[in-house]
Amino acid sequence: MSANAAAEYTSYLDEGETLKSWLTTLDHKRIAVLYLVSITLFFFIGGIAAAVIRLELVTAGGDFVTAETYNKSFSLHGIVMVWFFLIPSIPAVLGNFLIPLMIGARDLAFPRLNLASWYLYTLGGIFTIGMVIAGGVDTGWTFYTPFSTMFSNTYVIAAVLGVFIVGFSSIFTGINFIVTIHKMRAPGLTWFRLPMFVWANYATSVIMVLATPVLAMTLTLVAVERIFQIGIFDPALGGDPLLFQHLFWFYSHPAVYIMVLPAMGVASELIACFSRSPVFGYRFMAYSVMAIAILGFLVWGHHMFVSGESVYAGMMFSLFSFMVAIPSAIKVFNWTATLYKGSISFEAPMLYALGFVFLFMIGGLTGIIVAALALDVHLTDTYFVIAHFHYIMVGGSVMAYLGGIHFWWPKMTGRMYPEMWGRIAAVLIFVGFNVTFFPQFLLGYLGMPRRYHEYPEELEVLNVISSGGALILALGYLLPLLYLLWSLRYGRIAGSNPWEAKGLEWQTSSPPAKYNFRETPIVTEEAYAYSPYKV
Amino acid sequence: MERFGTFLGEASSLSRHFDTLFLALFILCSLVTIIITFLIVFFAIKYRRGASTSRFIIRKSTAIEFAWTIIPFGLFLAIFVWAAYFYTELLVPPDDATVDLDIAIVGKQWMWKLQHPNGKREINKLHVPLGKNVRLTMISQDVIHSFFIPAFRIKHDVLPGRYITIWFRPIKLGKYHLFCAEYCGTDHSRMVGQVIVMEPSAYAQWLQQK
Ligand code: HEM
Ligand SMILES: [Cu+2]
Ligand SMILES: [Cu+2]
Repeated sequence: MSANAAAEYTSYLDEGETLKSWLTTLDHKRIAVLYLVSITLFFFIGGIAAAVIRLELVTAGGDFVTAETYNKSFSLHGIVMVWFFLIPSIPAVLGNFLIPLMIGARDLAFPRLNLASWYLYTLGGIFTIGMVIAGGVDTGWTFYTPFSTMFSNTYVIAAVLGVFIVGFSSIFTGINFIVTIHKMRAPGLTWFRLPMFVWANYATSVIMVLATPVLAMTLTLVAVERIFQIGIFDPALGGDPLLFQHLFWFYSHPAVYIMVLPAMGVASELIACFSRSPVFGYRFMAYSVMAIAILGFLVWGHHMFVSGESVYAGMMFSLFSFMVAIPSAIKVFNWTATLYKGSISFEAPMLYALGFVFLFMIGGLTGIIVAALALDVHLTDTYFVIAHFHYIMVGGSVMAYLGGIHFWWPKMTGRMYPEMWGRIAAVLIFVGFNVTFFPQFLLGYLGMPRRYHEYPEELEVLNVISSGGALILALGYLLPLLYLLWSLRYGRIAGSNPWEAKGLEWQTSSPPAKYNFRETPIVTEEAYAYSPYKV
Repeated sequence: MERFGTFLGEASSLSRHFDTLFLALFILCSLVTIIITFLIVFFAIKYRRGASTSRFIIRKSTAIEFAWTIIPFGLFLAIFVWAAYFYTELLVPPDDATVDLDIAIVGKQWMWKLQHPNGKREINKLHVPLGKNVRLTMISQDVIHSFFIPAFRIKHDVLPGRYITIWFRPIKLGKYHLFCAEYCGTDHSRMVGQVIVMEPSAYAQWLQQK
């Protein structure tokens, strides 16, 4: 950048300092920051609920909180972590910030829709916090009927309303991404030159747009049955409780891919950059994310193997579940192969990315175990399933999210985070995570049911270990909050491309100007044109 | 594992089958984990920045990609068939001729009510004779519960408005945990009980006690 150009340049952060300028912004980068602040808040709310759960489980008896409070805690934890943190995390923060930059565009296709989606998120969040203040909900994040519609005497309607609203924010984000990626790519940026991060968010958006309306409909039916007792799900009124589970998982299984596909995208970017080699098997990686997004719609019944669905339906869903595991396996193999003959360095984002691959692999392999019908009969609704999905969603997705935040922090803020602290936190989180969740596989194998306020004494030791791990994990999560805030002021100035990374987002200044690129870039090379020899 | 006998003793005819399949998958998953982890660590060290090593790459990937698509496919198919076959054994009860004992179970917030063929009832306890095929017919009075005996490796949701049948054959004397595994409200974690496997003669005697 010439001295002259530098003088005219104002970063997007300096476009206005008032609260109003933030709350009315249409800039995708500022909206990403709004999301970053809000989801961080919800992450810590969900975290407090988790702390209550782990504290209660330190002893076998139910002594720290009452059964009601315990049940409300895990319900709040699930609702907040799934809908208010993990689903929006990578797409709404990193995707929002990066997709226009990565494709050489000035903004998303619909900036107003983008802001509206953040307002819906916030409205849904306020409902949920209001619901908790009013007294909370005790149905679990799964809202199984007829418990939720006819038996629970907590604030079910407020809770489903909060989720209903936040669902629309993810539909809006999905629509925006799809249109943007189709229509606004820079000249020369063909589909097979897109970064994996863009592919992953594209696949995620398709799921958001197709699956979330089903959730909205299902939750509406729950509210309607609760208010008017019309007998959709409650057999006492002529309804069918399994209908709810089919509808709920028809959304919620694809939703687990909403939570993990973007993480896969982040991992691909980080691994390629820090091993200085192109993502191995690029096309297979792109096909894999699309295959996962499509096959993910055909496996919902694997949450219902012992629910009373027919034995043959169970078999079909099991078979499809194994099929969806294949593209997941391909991804793990390809990340490993990307390292081969690279030139690898271990900055904090890379530590997070490698941690992601390992934990995602364990999560995926235990997915195979619970997809094996006869094994799931014993393991379902135990801590084995809890461990399985935490390995993927927390071990995998949250690691990738944090890795991405560190990697693009210099782009977002113009400053570097402190590298040593970054590495310490990554290691702490990895260790804390495993100590927390590995014992839960053993607990589940032994048969400890989930959602238990009290449990048999023989299981106390493993539970104490798990709670101890949670303490380490909590510390690990607090660290980045502190040093990232610190770096806003004291961090080293980053420069436009501190990692010498490829990708259009690194070709513009850090932090970028409001309009992203002075001139629309023209793309002439494949994605990840890294070479292990340079640098 | 003796400590966990009330959970995981091989107490039913289905337990061993479960354990074999689980062990097979455990070994497979461990192998994959070890190999991939080894490769990641090995590459990370060998190709770390600054290490002097050859970095020349021929990036032809199609054949490899097909290999690591097809191999998991074959493996998964085999596991699927094995697990599905055993699933039918678990969930489809034997026909009337081979059932030795029928027990009726009602779940409600938050207890299990059980009834033996001669009308004898019990709550949160299930006495059964060793070595007999026991068929359970279950229903719920209110919300969904789930009848779970870890030592027998069986579990099934218990629904309102619909009868569910499952079965087991206990093969080891002893007392085992009985849990409700589907979240059913406030005292879900207290909807627990005990399964007591007795000699058939002792069971017959017990049945006659008032
Ligand atoms: C390798 C592919 C995967 C397979 C074969 C698989 C298989 C399964 C199966 C069979 C269950 C049902 C277990 C049960 O309820 O008894 C399950 C539960 C679950 N899985 Fe996966 N899974 C895979 C990947 C994932 C991913 C990528 C995520 C999330 C990002 C995920 C999140 C979950 C969650 C949240 C549950 C439990 C939901 C609940 O009951 O609250 N799984 N998985
Ligand atoms: Cu699923
Ligand atoms: Cu229960």
